[in-house]
Amino acid sequence: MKFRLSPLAHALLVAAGWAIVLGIALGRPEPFVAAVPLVTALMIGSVRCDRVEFAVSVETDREVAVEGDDLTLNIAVQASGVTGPVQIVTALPSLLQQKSLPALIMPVAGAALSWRHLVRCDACGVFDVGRVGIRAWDLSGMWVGEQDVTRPARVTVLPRPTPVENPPRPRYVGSRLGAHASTAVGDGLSFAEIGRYAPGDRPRAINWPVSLRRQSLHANRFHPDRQADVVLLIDTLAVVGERPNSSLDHMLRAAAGLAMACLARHDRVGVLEYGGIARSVRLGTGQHQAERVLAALACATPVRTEWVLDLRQLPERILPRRALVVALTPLVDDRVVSGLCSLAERGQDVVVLALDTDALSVPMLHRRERHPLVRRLWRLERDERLRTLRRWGGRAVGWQPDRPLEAALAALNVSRFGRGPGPWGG
Amino acid sequence: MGRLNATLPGALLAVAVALLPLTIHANLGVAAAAAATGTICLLGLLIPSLPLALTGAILAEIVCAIVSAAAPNGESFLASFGIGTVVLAFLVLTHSRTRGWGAPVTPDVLWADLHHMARVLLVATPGAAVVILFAHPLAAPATPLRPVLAVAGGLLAFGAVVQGVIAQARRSR
Repeated sequence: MKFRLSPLAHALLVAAGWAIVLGIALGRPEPFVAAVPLVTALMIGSVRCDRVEFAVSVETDREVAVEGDDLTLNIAVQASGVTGPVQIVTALPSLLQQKSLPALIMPVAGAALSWRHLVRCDACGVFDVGRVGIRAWDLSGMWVGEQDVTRPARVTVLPRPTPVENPPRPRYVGSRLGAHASTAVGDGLSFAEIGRYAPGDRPRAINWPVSLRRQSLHANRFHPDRQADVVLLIDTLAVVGERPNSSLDHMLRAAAGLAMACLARHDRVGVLEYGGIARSVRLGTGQHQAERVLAALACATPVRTEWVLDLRQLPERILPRRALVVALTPLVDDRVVSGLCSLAERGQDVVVLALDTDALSVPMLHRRERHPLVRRLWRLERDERLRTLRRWGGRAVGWQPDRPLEAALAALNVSRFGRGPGPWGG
Repeated sequence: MGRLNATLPGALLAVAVALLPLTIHANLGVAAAAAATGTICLLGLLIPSLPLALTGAILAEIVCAIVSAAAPNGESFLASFGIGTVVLAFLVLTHSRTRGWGAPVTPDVLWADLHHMARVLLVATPGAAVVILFAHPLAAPATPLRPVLAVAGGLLAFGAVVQGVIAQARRSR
Protein backbone atom coordinates (compact mmCIF):
# COMPACT_ATOMS: atom_id res chain seq x y z
CA MET A 1 0.00 0.00 0.00
CA LYS A 2 1.35 3.38 -1.04
CA PHE A 3 0.60 6.44 1.04
CA ARG A 4 -0.39 9.88 -0.28
CA LEU A 5 -1.15 13.22 1.40
CA SER A 6 -4.52 13.14 3.15
CA PRO A 7 -7.22 15.85 2.87
CA LEU A 8 -6.26 16.92 6.41
CA ALA A 9 -2.70 17.72 5.27
CA HIS A 10 -4.09 19.79 2.39
CA ALA A 11 -6.42 21.64 4.74
CA LEU A 12 -3.65 22.41 7.25
CA LEU A 13 -1.36 23.53 4.44
CA VAL A 14 -3.96 25.95 3.12
CA ALA A 15 -4.83 27.27 6.60
CA ALA A 16 -1.14 27.80 7.44
CA GLY A 17 -0.49 29.40 4.05
CA TRP A 18 -3.38 31.77 4.57
CA ALA A 19 -2.11 32.81 7.99
CA ILE A 20 1.37 33.53 6.62
CA VAL A 21 0.02 35.47 3.63
CA LEU A 22 -2.24 37.49 5.94
CA GLY A 23 0.70 38.27 8.18
CA ILE A 24 2.74 39.54 5.23
CA ALA A 25 -0.19 41.37 3.62
CA LEU A 26 -1.23 43.20 6.79
CA GLY A 27 2.31 43.61 8.12
CA ARG A 28 1.34 42.12 11.48
CA PRO A 29 3.08 39.39 13.49
CA GLU A 30 -0.13 37.85 14.96
CA PRO A 31 -1.07 35.74 11.91
CA PHE A 32 2.44 34.21 11.98
CA VAL A 33 1.85 33.14 15.57
CA ALA A 34 -1.51 31.66 14.56
CA ALA A 35 0.27 29.68 11.85
CA VAL A 36 2.74 28.07 14.30
CA PRO A 37 0.55 25.14 15.53
CA LEU A 38 -0.54 24.39 11.96
CA VAL A 39 3.01 24.42 10.59
CA THR A 40 4.20 22.30 13.54
CA ALA A 41 1.51 19.68 12.88
CA LEU A 42 2.54 19.62 9.22
CA MET A 43 6.22 19.26 10.08
CA ILE A 44 5.59 16.42 12.54
CA GLY A 45 3.39 14.61 10.04
CA SER A 46 5.65 15.26 7.06
CA VAL A 47 7.62 12.03 7.49
CA ARG A 48 6.18 9.70 4.88
CA CYS A 49 4.92 6.35 6.07
CA ASP A 50 6.79 3.18 5.20
CA ARG A 51 5.21 0.87 2.68
CA VAL A 52 2.78 -1.36 4.58
CA GLU A 53 1.07 -4.47 3.25
CA PHE A 54 -2.08 -5.95 4.70
CA ALA A 55 -2.95 -9.64 4.77
CA VAL A 56 -6.71 -9.96 4.68
CA SER A 57 -9.04 -12.92 5.09
CA VAL A 58 -12.80 -12.78 4.59
CA GLU A 59 -15.24 -15.37 5.94
CA THR A 60 -18.99 -15.50 6.28
CA ASP A 61 -20.83 -17.11 9.17
CA ARG A 62 -22.72 -19.28 6.64
CA GLU A 63 -22.70 -19.93 2.93
CA VAL A 64 -26.46 -20.07 2.44
CA ALA A 65 -28.97 -17.51 3.69
CA VAL A 66 -32.58 -16.61 3.00
CA GLU A 67 -33.87 -13.26 1.76
CA GLY A 68 -34.19 -10.80 4.64
CA ASP A 69 -31.64 -12.63 6.79
CA ASP A 70 -28.64 -10.95 8.38
CA LEU A 71 -25.18 -12.28 7.56
CA THR A 72 -21.96 -11.68 9.42
CA LEU A 73 -18.76 -11.06 7.50
CA ASN A 74 -15.67 -11.77 9.55
CA ILE A 75 -12.73 -9.80 8.19
CA ALA A 76 -9.28 -10.39 9.66
CA VAL A 77 -6.49 -7.92 8.89
CA GLN A 78 -2.79 -8.26 9.60
CA ALA A 79 -0.48 -5.30 8.92
CA SER A 80 3.17 -5.87 8.00
CA GLY A 81 4.30 -2.59 9.59
CA VAL A 82 3.27 0.21 11.90
CA THR A 83 0.33 2.36 10.77
CA GLY A 84 -2.29 4.58 12.31
CA PRO A 85 -6.01 3.90 12.18
CA VAL A 86 -7.29 1.46 9.57
CA GLN A 87 -10.74 1.46 8.05
CA ILE A 88 -12.18 -1.71 6.54
CA VAL A 89 -14.75 -1.09 3.82
CA THR A 90 -16.61 -3.92 2.14
CA ALA A 91 -17.51 -3.59 -1.54
CA LEU A 92 -20.80 -5.44 -1.46
CA PRO A 93 -23.21 -6.03 -4.34
CA SER A 94 -26.11 -3.59 -4.36
CA LEU A 95 -28.57 -6.26 -3.22
CA LEU A 96 -26.64 -6.83 0.00
CA GLN A 97 -26.89 -3.97 2.40
CA GLN A 98 -24.27 -3.21 4.99
CA LYS A 99 -25.88 -2.65 8.37
CA SER A 100 -22.79 -1.63 10.32
CA LEU A 101 -20.63 1.36 9.45
CA PRO A 102 -17.00 0.82 8.40
CA ALA A 103 -15.02 0.87 11.60
CA LEU A 104 -11.77 2.63 12.42
CA ILE A 105 -9.40 0.27 14.19
CA MET A 106 -5.78 0.45 15.22
CA PRO A 107 -3.79 -2.57 14.06
CA VAL A 108 -0.66 -3.74 15.81
CA ALA A 109 2.24 -4.65 13.51
CA GLY A 110 2.30 -8.42 13.00
CA ALA A 111 -0.84 -9.09 15.03
CA ALA A 112 -4.14 -10.00 13.39
CA LEU A 113 -7.22 -7.88 14.00
CA SER A 114 -10.70 -9.08 13.18
CA TRP A 115 -13.82 -7.08 12.54
CA ARG A 116 -17.42 -8.16 12.00
CA HIS A 117 -19.64 -6.55 9.41
CA LEU A 118 -23.37 -7.13 9.60
CA VAL A 119 -24.97 -7.50 6.17
CA ARG A 120 -28.66 -7.71 5.29
CA CYS A 121 -29.68 -9.81 2.29
CA ASP A 122 -32.30 -7.79 0.42
CA ALA A 123 -32.80 -10.14 -2.54
CA CYS A 124 -31.94 -13.64 -3.60
CA GLY A 125 -28.95 -14.49 -5.78
CA VAL A 126 -25.39 -15.72 -5.64
CA PHE A 127 -23.06 -12.99 -4.48
CA ASP A 128 -19.32 -12.53 -4.14
CA VAL A 129 -18.62 -10.84 -0.82
CA GLY A 130 -14.85 -11.22 -0.75
CA ARG A 131 -13.94 -7.76 -2.08
CA VAL A 132 -12.62 -5.59 0.72
CA GLY A 133 -11.17 -2.09 0.66
CA ILE A 134 -8.61 -1.06 3.27
CA ARG A 135 -7.88 2.57 3.99
CA ALA A 136 -5.04 3.33 6.39
CA TRP A 137 -3.73 6.58 7.83
CA ASP A 138 -0.42 7.24 9.51
CA LEU A 139 -0.40 8.23 13.18
CA SER A 140 -0.58 11.96 12.37
CA GLY A 141 -3.46 11.54 9.90
CA MET A 142 -1.45 13.42 7.22
CA TRP A 143 -0.89 10.39 4.98
CA VAL A 144 -3.48 8.01 3.69
CA GLY A 145 -3.23 4.84 1.62
CA GLU A 146 -5.80 2.55 0.04
CA GLN A 147 -5.68 -1.09 -0.99
CA ASP A 148 -8.26 -3.33 -2.66
CA VAL A 149 -8.24 -7.00 -1.75
CA THR A 150 -10.37 -9.76 -3.26
CA ARG A 151 -10.75 -13.07 -1.48
CA PRO A 152 -12.92 -16.02 -2.51
CA ALA A 153 -16.07 -15.70 -0.42
CA ARG A 154 -19.47 -16.46 -1.89
CA VAL A 155 -22.95 -16.38 -0.40
CA THR A 156 -26.08 -17.92 -1.87
CA VAL A 157 -29.22 -16.08 -0.83
CA LEU A 158 -32.31 -18.20 -1.35
CA PRO A 159 -35.71 -16.66 -2.11
CA ARG A 160 -38.06 -16.46 0.84
CA PRO A 161 -41.02 -18.69 -0.08
CA THR A 162 -44.43 -17.04 -0.34
CA PRO A 163 -46.89 -18.98 1.85
CA VAL A 164 -48.92 -21.31 -0.39
CA GLU A 165 -51.41 -23.80 1.03
CA ASN A 166 -53.32 -24.86 -2.06
CA PRO A 167 -51.07 -25.17 -5.08
CA PRO A 168 -52.76 -25.78 -8.44
CA ARG A 169 -54.17 -29.28 -8.79
CA PRO A 170 -52.80 -31.29 -11.69
CA ARG A 171 -54.98 -32.84 -14.38
CA TYR A 172 -52.78 -35.90 -14.65
CA VAL A 173 -51.17 -37.88 -11.87
CA GLY A 174 -48.26 -40.29 -11.91
CA SER A 175 -47.97 -43.89 -10.82
CA ARG A 176 -46.31 -43.43 -7.45
CA LEU A 177 -48.01 -42.93 -4.14
CA GLY A 178 -48.91 -39.31 -3.46
CA ALA A 179 -51.57 -36.91 -2.29
CA HIS A 180 -53.73 -36.53 -5.42
CA ALA A 181 -56.79 -38.68 -5.95
CA SER A 182 -56.41 -40.49 -9.25
CA THR A 183 -59.34 -40.91 -11.63
CA ALA A 184 -58.72 -44.67 -11.50
CA VAL A 185 -60.29 -46.92 -8.88
CA GLY A 186 -58.12 -48.72 -6.35
CA ASP A 187 -56.66 -48.35 -2.86
CA GLY A 188 -56.92 -44.88 -1.48
CA LEU A 189 -58.76 -42.59 0.87
CA SER A 190 -61.06 -40.70 -1.50
CA PHE A 191 -64.39 -42.48 -1.97
CA ALA A 192 -65.14 -43.32 -5.63
CA GLU A 193 -68.15 -45.66 -5.92
CA ILE A 194 -69.91 -48.78 -4.59
CA GLY A 195 -69.68 -51.94 -6.69
CA ARG A 196 -70.32 -55.65 -6.46
CA TYR A 197 -67.86 -57.49 -4.31
CA ALA A 198 -65.28 -59.14 -6.51
CA PRO A 199 -62.45 -61.54 -5.70
CA GLY A 200 -59.50 -59.47 -4.58
CA ASP A 201 -61.59 -56.83 -2.78
CA ARG A 202 -60.66 -56.36 0.84
CA PRO A 203 -63.24 -57.75 3.31
CA ARG A 204 -63.08 -54.52 5.31
CA ALA A 205 -64.22 -52.61 2.19
CA ILE A 206 -67.58 -54.46 2.19
CA ASN A 207 -70.43 -52.00 2.58
CA TRP A 208 -72.72 -53.98 4.89
CA PRO A 209 -75.83 -51.74 4.79
CA VAL A 210 -75.88 -51.77 0.96
CA SER A 211 -75.10 -55.51 0.90
CA LEU A 212 -78.08 -56.23 3.21
CA ARG A 213 -80.43 -54.09 1.14
CA ARG A 214 -79.28 -55.63 -2.15
CA GLN A 215 -78.97 -59.18 -0.75
CA SER A 216 -75.49 -59.50 -2.30
CA LEU A 217 -72.07 -58.39 -1.23
CA HIS A 218 -71.12 -54.86 -2.26
CA ALA A 219 -67.84 -53.12 -1.56
CA ASN A 220 -66.69 -49.50 -1.43
CA ARG A 221 -64.20 -48.48 -4.09
CA PHE A 222 -61.68 -45.66 -3.68
CA HIS A 223 -59.54 -43.44 -5.84
CA PRO A 224 -55.88 -44.30 -5.34
CA ASP A 225 -53.76 -41.39 -4.13
CA ARG A 226 -50.96 -40.66 -6.55
CA GLN A 227 -48.23 -38.09 -6.87
CA ALA A 228 -47.97 -35.53 -9.66
CA ASP A 229 -45.07 -34.07 -11.59
CA VAL A 230 -44.86 -30.27 -11.35
CA VAL A 231 -42.47 -28.21 -13.45
CA LEU A 232 -42.07 -24.58 -12.38
CA LEU A 233 -41.27 -22.49 -15.42
CA ILE A 234 -39.67 -19.13 -14.58
CA ASP A 235 -39.77 -16.53 -17.31
CA THR A 236 -36.46 -14.65 -17.23
CA LEU A 237 -36.75 -13.14 -20.70
CA ALA A 238 -37.87 -9.81 -19.25
CA VAL A 239 -37.76 -8.22 -15.84
CA VAL A 240 -39.97 -5.32 -14.81
CA GLY A 241 -39.10 -3.10 -11.84
CA GLU A 242 -36.00 -2.68 -9.78
CA ARG A 243 -34.63 -5.35 -7.52
CA PRO A 244 -35.44 -6.33 -4.79
CA ASN A 245 -38.99 -5.34 -5.82
CA SER A 246 -38.87 -6.52 -9.40
CA SER A 247 -41.10 -8.99 -11.21
CA LEU A 248 -38.29 -11.55 -10.99
CA ASP A 249 -38.14 -11.29 -7.19
CA HIS A 250 -41.90 -11.73 -6.83
CA MET A 251 -41.87 -14.68 -9.22
CA LEU A 252 -38.97 -16.40 -7.46
CA ARG A 253 -40.63 -16.04 -4.05
CA ALA A 254 -43.87 -17.42 -5.46
CA ALA A 255 -42.02 -20.27 -7.20
CA ALA A 256 -40.26 -21.13 -3.94
CA GLY A 257 -43.61 -21.18 -2.12
CA LEU A 258 -45.21 -23.36 -4.80
CA ALA A 259 -42.25 -25.74 -4.78
CA MET A 260 -42.41 -26.12 -1.00
CA ALA A 261 -46.19 -26.72 -1.09
CA CYS A 262 -45.91 -29.30 -3.89
CA LEU A 263 -43.02 -31.10 -2.21
CA ALA A 264 -45.00 -31.16 1.04
CA ARG A 265 -47.72 -33.18 -0.73
CA HIS A 266 -45.03 -35.54 -2.10
CA ASP A 267 -45.17 -34.32 -5.71
CA ARG A 268 -42.10 -34.45 -7.88
CA VAL A 269 -40.97 -30.89 -8.56
CA GLY A 270 -38.59 -29.54 -11.19
CA VAL A 271 -37.56 -26.07 -12.31
CA LEU A 272 -37.07 -24.69 -15.78
CA GLU A 273 -35.63 -21.23 -16.39
CA TYR A 274 -37.03 -19.88 -19.63
CA GLY A 275 -34.69 -17.15 -20.82
CA GLY A 276 -31.27 -16.47 -22.25
CA ILE A 277 -29.79 -19.19 -20.08
CA ALA A 278 -31.85 -22.39 -20.08
CA ARG A 279 -31.20 -23.85 -16.64
CA SER A 280 -33.23 -26.69 -15.28
CA VAL A 281 -33.56 -28.93 -12.26
CA ARG A 282 -34.74 -32.46 -12.90
CA LEU A 283 -37.89 -33.68 -11.22
CA GLY A 284 -37.44 -35.03 -7.76
CA THR A 285 -38.92 -35.10 -4.32
CA GLY A 286 -37.80 -34.80 -0.72
CA GLN A 287 -35.71 -32.38 1.32
CA HIS A 288 -32.68 -32.51 -0.98
CA GLN A 289 -34.87 -31.64 -3.95
CA ALA A 290 -36.21 -28.64 -2.01
CA GLU A 291 -32.65 -27.45 -1.51
CA ARG A 292 -31.82 -28.02 -5.19
CA VAL A 293 -34.91 -26.11 -6.32
CA LEU A 294 -34.23 -23.15 -4.03
CA ALA A 295 -30.58 -23.02 -5.13
CA ALA A 296 -31.65 -23.06 -8.78
CA LEU A 297 -34.15 -20.26 -8.14
CA ALA A 298 -31.43 -18.21 -6.44
CA CYS A 299 -29.31 -18.51 -9.61
CA ALA A 300 -32.09 -17.28 -11.92
CA THR A 301 -30.74 -14.39 -13.94
CA PRO A 302 -32.46 -12.29 -16.58
CA VAL A 303 -30.49 -12.32 -19.84
CA ARG A 304 -31.52 -10.40 -22.94
CA THR A 305 -31.49 -12.74 -25.89
CA GLU A 306 -32.92 -13.31 -29.33
CA TRP A 307 -32.62 -17.07 -28.87
CA VAL A 308 -35.32 -18.90 -26.98
CA LEU A 309 -35.78 -22.44 -25.93
CA ASP A 310 -38.24 -24.60 -27.89
CA LEU A 311 -40.24 -26.09 -25.03
CA ARG A 312 -41.56 -28.92 -27.20
CA GLN A 313 -38.03 -30.16 -27.85
CA LEU A 314 -37.20 -30.61 -24.17
CA PRO A 315 -36.41 -34.18 -23.11
CA GLU A 316 -38.94 -36.18 -21.13
CA ARG A 317 -36.74 -36.22 -18.01
CA ILE A 318 -36.97 -32.41 -17.78
CA LEU A 319 -40.50 -31.83 -19.01
CA PRO A 320 -42.64 -35.01 -18.96
CA ARG A 321 -45.75 -35.01 -21.12
CA ARG A 322 -48.08 -35.50 -18.17
CA ALA A 323 -46.41 -32.97 -15.91
CA LEU A 324 -48.21 -29.90 -14.67
CA VAL A 325 -46.35 -26.82 -15.96
CA VAL A 326 -46.77 -23.84 -13.64
CA ALA A 327 -45.45 -20.83 -15.53
CA LEU A 328 -44.62 -17.66 -13.61
CA THR A 329 -44.28 -14.76 -15.97
CA PRO A 330 -44.74 -10.99 -16.17
CA LEU A 331 -46.30 -11.68 -19.59
CA VAL A 332 -44.23 -9.00 -21.29
CA ASP A 333 -42.62 -11.08 -24.02
CA ASP A 334 -44.69 -12.65 -26.80
CA ARG A 335 -42.21 -15.54 -27.08
CA VAL A 336 -43.34 -16.83 -23.67
CA VAL A 337 -46.95 -16.78 -24.81
CA SER A 338 -46.18 -18.72 -28.01
CA GLY A 339 -44.01 -21.23 -26.08
CA LEU A 340 -46.74 -21.91 -23.52
CA CYS A 341 -49.42 -22.09 -26.22
CA SER A 342 -47.37 -24.73 -28.03
CA LEU A 343 -47.24 -26.77 -24.82
CA ALA A 344 -50.98 -26.43 -24.22
CA GLU A 345 -51.61 -27.36 -27.84
CA ARG A 346 -49.91 -30.73 -27.42
CA GLY A 347 -52.10 -31.46 -24.39
CA GLN A 348 -49.75 -30.44 -21.61
CA ASP A 349 -51.42 -29.26 -18.41
CA VAL A 350 -50.36 -25.60 -18.28
CA VAL A 351 -51.10 -23.14 -15.48
CA VAL A 352 -49.97 -19.56 -16.06
CA LEU A 353 -49.57 -17.17 -13.15
CA ALA A 354 -49.23 -13.80 -14.88
CA LEU A 355 -47.78 -11.17 -12.59
CA ASP A 356 -49.38 -7.75 -12.92
CA THR A 357 -46.37 -5.48 -13.40
CA ASP A 358 -48.24 -2.18 -13.62
CA ALA A 359 -47.32 -1.03 -10.12
CA LEU A 360 -43.77 -2.40 -10.36
CA SER A 361 -43.03 -0.60 -13.62
CA VAL A 362 -44.00 2.90 -12.44
CA PRO A 363 -40.65 3.80 -10.78
CA MET A 364 -38.82 2.82 -13.98
CA LEU A 365 -40.96 4.80 -16.39
CA HIS A 366 -40.31 8.20 -17.87
CA ARG A 367 -42.89 10.93 -17.36
CA ARG A 368 -44.59 10.36 -20.71
CA GLU A 369 -44.72 6.60 -20.27
CA ARG A 370 -46.52 7.05 -16.96
CA HIS A 371 -49.47 8.55 -18.76
CA PRO A 372 -52.63 6.59 -17.88
CA LEU A 373 -53.36 6.02 -21.56
CA VAL A 374 -50.00 4.32 -22.15
CA ARG A 375 -50.44 2.10 -19.14
CA ARG A 376 -53.98 1.25 -20.17
CA LEU A 377 -52.68 0.14 -23.57
CA TRP A 378 -50.13 -2.09 -21.89
CA ARG A 379 -52.85 -3.57 -19.70
CA LEU A 380 -54.94 -4.29 -22.79
CA GLU A 381 -51.96 -6.02 -24.42
CA ARG A 382 -51.47 -8.10 -21.32
CA ASP A 383 -55.16 -9.05 -21.15
CA GLU A 384 -55.01 -10.07 -24.80
CA ARG A 385 -52.06 -12.38 -24.06
CA LEU A 386 -53.98 -13.92 -21.15
CA ARG A 387 -56.97 -14.51 -23.43
CA THR A 388 -54.70 -16.13 -26.03
CA LEU A 389 -53.33 -18.52 -23.43
CA ARG A 390 -56.83 -19.47 -22.26
CA ARG A 391 -57.96 -19.94 -25.86
CA TRP A 392 -55.18 -22.50 -26.38
CA GLY A 393 -56.21 -24.45 -23.29
CA GLY A 394 -53.97 -23.04 -20.60
CA ARG A 395 -55.29 -22.13 -17.19
CA ALA A 396 -54.15 -18.52 -17.01
CA VAL A 397 -54.78 -16.14 -14.15
CA GLY A 398 -53.61 -12.64 -13.27
CA TRP A 399 -51.75 -12.10 -10.05
CA GLN A 400 -51.23 -8.82 -8.17
CA PRO A 401 -47.84 -8.61 -6.42
CA ASP A 402 -49.34 -6.82 -3.40
CA ARG A 403 -52.02 -9.47 -2.85
CA PRO A 404 -51.61 -13.02 -1.52
CA LEU A 405 -50.75 -15.62 -4.13
CA GLU A 406 -53.49 -17.80 -2.65
CA ALA A 407 -56.11 -15.41 -4.05
CA ALA A 408 -54.81 -15.97 -7.59
CA LEU A 409 -54.56 -19.72 -7.07
CA ALA A 410 -58.13 -19.87 -5.76
CA ALA A 411 -59.28 -18.18 -8.98
CA LEU A 412 -57.91 -21.11 -10.95
CA ASN A 413 -60.87 -23.06 -9.55
CA VAL A 414 -59.75 -26.46 -10.70
CA SER A 415 -62.31 -29.24 -10.32
CA ARG A 416 -61.44 -32.07 -7.98
CA PHE A 417 -60.11 -34.49 -10.56
CA GLY A 418 -58.99 -31.83 -12.97
CA ARG A 419 -61.40 -32.87 -15.68
CA GLY A 420 -63.10 -29.61 -16.48
CA PRO A 421 -61.47 -26.28 -16.96
CA GLY A 422 -64.18 -24.31 -15.14
CA PRO A 423 -64.17 -20.53 -15.13
CA TRP A 424 -60.51 -19.58 -15.28
CA GLY A 425 -60.87 -16.35 -13.40
CA GLY A 426 -58.28 -13.63 -13.83
CA MET B 1 -15.82 -1.09 21.94
CA GLY B 2 -15.34 2.66 22.44
CA ARG B 3 -17.02 5.24 20.30
CA LEU B 4 -15.66 8.63 19.36
CA ASN B 5 -18.44 11.15 19.17
CA ALA B 6 -16.68 14.21 17.81
CA THR B 7 -19.82 16.32 17.45
CA LEU B 8 -19.89 17.94 20.89
CA PRO B 9 -16.16 18.71 21.20
CA GLY B 10 -16.17 19.80 17.55
CA ALA B 11 -19.10 22.17 18.18
CA LEU B 12 -17.29 23.63 21.21
CA LEU B 13 -14.19 24.18 19.09
CA ALA B 14 -16.27 25.84 16.35
CA VAL B 15 -17.71 28.21 18.96
CA ALA B 16 -14.18 28.88 20.25
CA VAL B 17 -12.96 29.60 16.70
CA ALA B 18 -15.77 32.13 16.33
CA LEU B 19 -15.38 33.76 19.76
CA LEU B 20 -11.60 34.14 19.95
CA PRO B 21 -11.45 37.31 17.76
CA LEU B 22 -13.92 38.90 20.19
CA THR B 23 -11.33 38.57 22.98
CA ILE B 24 -9.02 40.85 21.00
CA HIS B 25 -11.56 43.57 20.33
CA ALA B 26 -15.32 43.33 20.75
CA ASN B 27 -17.72 45.37 18.66
CA LEU B 28 -20.84 44.75 16.56
CA GLY B 29 -18.96 44.14 13.31
CA VAL B 30 -16.61 41.59 14.91
CA ALA B 31 -19.59 39.88 16.56
CA ALA B 32 -21.37 39.58 13.18
CA ALA B 33 -18.22 38.18 11.56
CA ALA B 34 -17.83 35.75 14.49
CA ALA B 35 -21.42 34.60 14.06
CA ALA B 36 -20.86 33.96 10.32
CA THR B 37 -17.60 32.12 11.02
CA GLY B 38 -19.16 29.98 13.72
CA THR B 39 -22.10 29.06 11.46
CA ILE B 40 -19.82 27.98 8.61
CA CYS B 41 -17.60 25.99 10.97
CA LEU B 42 -20.60 24.24 12.54
CA LEU B 43 -22.00 23.38 9.12
CA GLY B 44 -18.62 21.99 8.09
CA LEU B 45 -18.54 19.86 11.21
CA LEU B 46 -22.10 18.60 11.03
CA ILE B 47 -22.29 17.79 7.29
CA PRO B 48 -19.28 16.82 7.68
CA SER B 49 -17.29 18.65 5.01
CA LEU B 50 -13.60 19.41 5.39
CA PRO B 51 -13.59 22.14 2.66
CA LEU B 52 -16.44 23.97 4.43
CA ALA B 53 -14.69 23.64 7.77
CA LEU B 54 -11.51 24.96 6.15
CA THR B 55 -13.46 27.94 4.77
CA GLY B 56 -14.70 28.69 8.26
CA ALA B 57 -11.18 28.36 9.66
CA ILE B 58 -9.71 30.71 7.04
CA LEU B 59 -12.52 33.21 7.69
CA ALA B 60 -11.65 33.07 11.40
CA GLU B 61 -7.99 33.72 10.60
CA ILE B 62 -8.90 36.71 8.42
CA VAL B 63 -11.21 38.15 11.07
CA CYS B 64 -8.55 37.61 13.73
CA ALA B 65 -5.85 39.24 11.61
CA ILE B 66 -8.01 42.26 10.73
CA VAL B 67 -9.15 42.72 14.32
CA SER B 68 -5.54 42.47 15.52
CA ALA B 69 -4.48 45.09 12.99
CA ALA B 70 -7.32 47.42 13.95
CA ALA B 71 -7.19 46.79 17.71
CA PRO B 72 -6.25 49.85 19.77
CA ASN B 73 -4.71 47.80 22.63
CA GLY B 74 -1.48 46.61 20.99
CA GLU B 75 -0.42 43.11 19.94
CA SER B 76 -2.47 40.01 20.85
CA PHE B 77 -0.14 36.99 20.55
CA LEU B 78 -1.98 34.80 23.02
CA ALA B 79 -5.32 35.01 21.16
CA SER B 80 -3.56 34.40 17.84
CA PHE B 81 -1.80 31.31 19.19
CA GLY B 82 -5.16 30.22 20.57
CA ILE B 83 -6.78 30.67 17.14
CA GLY B 84 -4.05 28.55 15.52
CA THR B 85 -4.41 25.79 18.11
CA VAL B 86 -8.20 25.76 18.02
CA VAL B 87 -8.25 25.77 14.20
CA LEU B 88 -5.84 22.82 14.19
CA ALA B 89 -7.94 20.83 16.66
CA PHE B 90 -11.15 21.73 14.83
CA LEU B 91 -9.77 20.60 11.45
CA VAL B 92 -8.47 17.32 12.95
CA LEU B 93 -11.89 16.61 14.51
CA THR B 94 -13.74 17.41 11.28
CA HIS B 95 -11.34 15.15 9.41
CA SER B 96 -12.06 12.40 11.96
CA ARG B 97 -15.76 12.81 11.28
CA THR B 98 -15.32 12.77 7.50
CA ARG B 99 -13.27 9.58 7.54
CA GLY B 100 -15.40 7.80 10.10
CA TRP B 101 -18.90 8.90 9.06
CA GLY B 102 -20.03 8.22 12.60
CA ALA B 103 -18.48 4.75 12.56
CA PRO B 104 -17.35 3.15 15.81
CA VAL B 105 -13.79 3.95 16.78
CA THR B 106 -11.66 1.83 19.04
CA PRO B 107 -10.12 3.57 22.09
CA ASP B 108 -6.66 3.02 20.54
CA VAL B 109 -7.56 5.36 17.69
CA LEU B 110 -8.81 7.98 20.12
CA TRP B 111 -5.64 7.79 22.18
CA ALA B 112 -3.47 8.01 19.06
CA ASP B 113 -5.23 11.22 17.98
CA LEU B 114 -4.95 12.78 21.44
CA HIS B 115 -1.30 11.77 21.68
CA HIS B 116 -0.57 13.39 18.34
CA MET B 117 -2.34 16.64 19.34
CA ALA B 118 -0.42 16.78 22.62
CA ARG B 119 2.86 16.27 20.79
CA VAL B 120 2.02 19.06 18.33
CA LEU B 121 1.16 21.50 21.13
CA LEU B 122 4.33 20.58 23.04
CA VAL B 123 6.46 21.50 20.04
CA ALA B 124 4.30 24.43 18.93
CA THR B 125 4.45 26.39 22.22
CA PRO B 126 8.23 27.08 22.19
CA GLY B 127 7.93 27.47 18.42
CA ALA B 128 5.41 30.24 18.92
CA ALA B 129 7.76 32.00 21.35
CA VAL B 130 10.52 31.93 18.76
CA VAL B 131 8.15 33.24 16.09
CA ILE B 132 7.07 36.13 18.34
CA LEU B 133 10.73 37.18 18.57
CA PHE B 134 11.23 37.14 14.81
CA ALA B 135 7.73 38.07 13.67
CA HIS B 136 8.35 41.75 12.97
CA PRO B 137 11.13 41.23 10.42
CA LEU B 138 9.01 38.52 8.79
CA ALA B 139 6.08 40.87 8.37
CA ALA B 140 8.06 43.71 6.85
CA PRO B 141 8.06 43.42 3.07
CA ALA B 142 7.47 46.57 1.06
CA THR B 143 3.95 47.98 1.19
CA PRO B 144 3.25 47.71 -2.61
CA LEU B 145 3.85 43.96 -2.39
CA ARG B 146 1.01 43.40 0.09
CA PRO B 147 -2.00 43.60 -2.29
CA VAL B 148 -0.22 41.16 -4.63
CA LEU B 149 0.34 38.74 -1.76
CA ALA B 150 -3.26 39.14 -0.61
CA VAL B 151 -4.60 38.34 -4.09
CA ALA B 152 -2.21 35.36 -4.38
CA GLY B 153 -3.39 34.08 -1.01
CA GLY B 154 -7.03 34.49 -2.00
CA LEU B 155 -6.47 32.53 -5.20
CA LEU B 156 -4.61 29.82 -3.26
CA ALA B 157 -7.47 29.44 -0.83
CA PHE B 158 -10.10 29.47 -3.56
CA GLY B 159 -8.19 26.82 -5.52
CA ALA B 160 -7.81 24.65 -2.44
CA VAL B 161 -11.50 24.86 -1.59
CA VAL B 162 -12.50 24.04 -5.19
CA GLN B 163 -10.09 21.10 -5.20
CA GLY B 164 -11.56 19.88 -1.92
CA VAL B 165 -15.12 20.13 -3.23
CA ILE B 166 -14.18 18.23 -6.43
CA ALA B 167 -12.39 15.52 -4.41
CA GLN B 168 -15.42 15.09 -2.16
CA ALA B 169 -17.77 14.88 -5.14
CA ARG B 170 -15.56 12.17 -6.68
CA ARG B 171 -15.51 10.20 -3.44
CA SER B 172 -19.28 10.38 -3.02
CA ARG B 173 -19.76 9.23 -6.66
